[in-house]
Amino acid sequence: MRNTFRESSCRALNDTPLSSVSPGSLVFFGKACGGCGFTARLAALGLVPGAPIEVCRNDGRGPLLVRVKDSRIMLGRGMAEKLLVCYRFGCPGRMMRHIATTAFAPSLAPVQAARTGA
Amino acid sequence: MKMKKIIVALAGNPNSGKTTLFNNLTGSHQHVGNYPGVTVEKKEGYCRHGDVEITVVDLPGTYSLTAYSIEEVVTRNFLVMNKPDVVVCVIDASNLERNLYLALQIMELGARVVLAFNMSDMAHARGIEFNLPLLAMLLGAPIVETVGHKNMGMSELLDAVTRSTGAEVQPKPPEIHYGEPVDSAIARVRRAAAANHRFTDPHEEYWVALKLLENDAEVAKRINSDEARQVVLSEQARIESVLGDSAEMIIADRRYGFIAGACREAVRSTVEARRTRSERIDEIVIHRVWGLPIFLGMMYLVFWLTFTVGTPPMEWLEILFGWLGGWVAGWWPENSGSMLKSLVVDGIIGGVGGVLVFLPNIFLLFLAIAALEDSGYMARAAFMMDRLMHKIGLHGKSFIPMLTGFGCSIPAIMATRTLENQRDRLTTMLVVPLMSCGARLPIYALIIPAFFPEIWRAPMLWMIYIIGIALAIGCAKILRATLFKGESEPFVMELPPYRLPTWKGLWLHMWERGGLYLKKAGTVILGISIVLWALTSFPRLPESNAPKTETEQQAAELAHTFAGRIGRAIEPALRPMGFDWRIGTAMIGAFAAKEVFVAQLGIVYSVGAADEKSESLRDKLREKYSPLVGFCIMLFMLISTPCMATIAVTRRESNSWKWALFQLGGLTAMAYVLTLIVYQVGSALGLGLGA
Repeated sequence: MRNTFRESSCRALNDTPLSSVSPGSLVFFGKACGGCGFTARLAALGLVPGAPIEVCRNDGRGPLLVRVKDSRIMLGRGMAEKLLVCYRFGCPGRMMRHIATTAFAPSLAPVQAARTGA
Repeated sequence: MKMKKIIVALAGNPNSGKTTLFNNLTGSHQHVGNYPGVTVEKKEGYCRHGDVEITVVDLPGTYSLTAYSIEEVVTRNFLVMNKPDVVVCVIDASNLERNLYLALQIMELGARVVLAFNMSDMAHARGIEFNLPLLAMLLGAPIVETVGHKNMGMSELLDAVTRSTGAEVQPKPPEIHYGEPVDSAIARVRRAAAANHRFTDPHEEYWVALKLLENDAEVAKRINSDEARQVVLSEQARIESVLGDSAEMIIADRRYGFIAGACREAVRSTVEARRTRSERIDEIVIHRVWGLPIFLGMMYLVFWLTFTVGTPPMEWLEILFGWLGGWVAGWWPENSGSMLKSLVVDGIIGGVGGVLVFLPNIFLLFLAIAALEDSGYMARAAFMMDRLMHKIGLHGKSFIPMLTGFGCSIPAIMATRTLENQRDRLTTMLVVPLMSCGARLPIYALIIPAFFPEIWRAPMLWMIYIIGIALAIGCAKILRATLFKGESEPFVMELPPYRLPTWKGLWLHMWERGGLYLKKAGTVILGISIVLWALTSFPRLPESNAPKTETEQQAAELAHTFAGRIGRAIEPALRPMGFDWRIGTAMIGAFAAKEVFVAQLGIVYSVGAADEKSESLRDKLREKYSPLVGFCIMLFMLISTPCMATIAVTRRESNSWKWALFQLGGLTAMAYVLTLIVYQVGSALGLGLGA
């Protein structure tokens, strides 16, 4: 009961569970639905909001195979159902933030200056 | 001149080639801790570079320094508590961003870090070019390019390590600007934490604050202050309200932002990403249709190799020990009733020799498992097994401990540490002993040729293993449906690229595990052999009431001993399974270590034999029991009572005697019931009763 509610509230954000993405598509990670118990683990594997995910294999049952940041990762189906993703143009907000964090590389300039100066 | 001594820790992602580097650096100067000791989780080795003596510690491979799995906790605790002089972060250069994520966290700990860009040849082949000086400056740590499997860059790495310890300056970790409002949140949490806790250096303070914001349970437990907890909660809420994502996520995101920024400055990828060779191989190996047959074929190959290739050396060892026994017996006059002769020849040589004979098989099995692990096939097996494992309430990751269980239950139970969920972990741990371990191999190797014709031997062995697997599946399912109800933990695992295993790596891997078997034979089994010999020799039958024939005399003598008495006492319970008291005594010994069963049978029979050289043990068994009993022995030994060491490890890893005793009792009861059914039904149907 509770799960269904959560799922529907996530769907409302116009995100798709990774488990329903067909193989060969490129999607972007949104967030993990259903508690943030494994947020840090996902992050360690490269799954941060906005990170591109290429679905290599999705047979409709059994585990999925995806590519994230130069490595291939297997995800159990149960897990993939909880990961919400969006298609290329689906979530501009997150995309913008991803671009912003990477493109402006916020912390580098001062560090670089400090180090060359020292 | 006095040698300078330093401690260097190797940390890195799984599959970054960390172990290969470790092996290259330390060569054969490494030791794995006690068995089933404490240090198996981190290996130590030594090497010398110039006038510096280096202790290298190989930490378990992890993706981050959170506290989700035990391996991560082990790594983190070592870095935080032991404070090694230098941490070498081994980085898979072809997968830079994710590997640097861990390195960054280690730097944030305030450790002195040297980055080893391993497998740099692969990265270059894939068209990735690094501006190393710039990258080193941006990250604030020296970088050395290495190629582990070609043994390149090792002395440069050691140079960098010794140079960085030579410098008296404190390591300067990269200052990641988490931006507002995270930075101010860190400052506030820091103040709150420092109010209640004394920190040795400002860096630790900073790190603790960061970890508290990241919801780290371990650190929160260490600080244990309500005030700090309040501050953390309010700061987390503030970050979430401003940025719309959890603090944990924002912090991870900023770290990746920092890495991505550094990479854009200093890394060029000239070639468009194309399909790697590993992917092409995977198209066949984990194919929807072909994957499973390939997997089964591989498994068959492993066991075929173990037995077919392992048989000739096994026979040579048999001959060797037979000769040794005869030679030692020759020191005493013929027909001497010397107790010492009996102890050395029957007890020690017979007992330990009987176990050592199977060394070639066990080494080959470990070699095959090492090859599967080192090549990367094991992860594919987990991928293919995930669906099946899901049906029994576990996931693909549990498959790896189970497969290791074919070698030995102890490393297998320790391998369950990669499972984050306690329910998954306990379930896997409890059923692992059903995977027929290497120590049970001697029993099958003794029984099968004794009772079954040539063509039936391989299928018979195959069947025993399959029964073990089937039971493990059944038990796991039952456990998950009853004691360990609940959702299964999400399954995430990296698929490493295929790698050709190096001979050195395979050798070390095999030796590490097989050596434990050898060590056990020299210590535990030697002791048990002597005890069991004494039990089967004393008390002796008084000379006076000498019975009629020689065989009757022997039977009477054995029956009179302690072993005979114990065996007879439990015989009524064993009878329904077709076992006699001899098997009963052997089974008591098997609790100490499974392979003792063979040694013990050898002792029981050679003590009571008229001429110890006339017949081999197998002929004796064939004479004494029917093939059905032979099968029942294997079945019972497969399921029953895991050895003492397994119980001890289960106790330690589950942290409770309850589960260890549950495992012991449950498996033994199941063994009894199943063997009973098989024997009774088999007898009724007249199956395998022999001539």
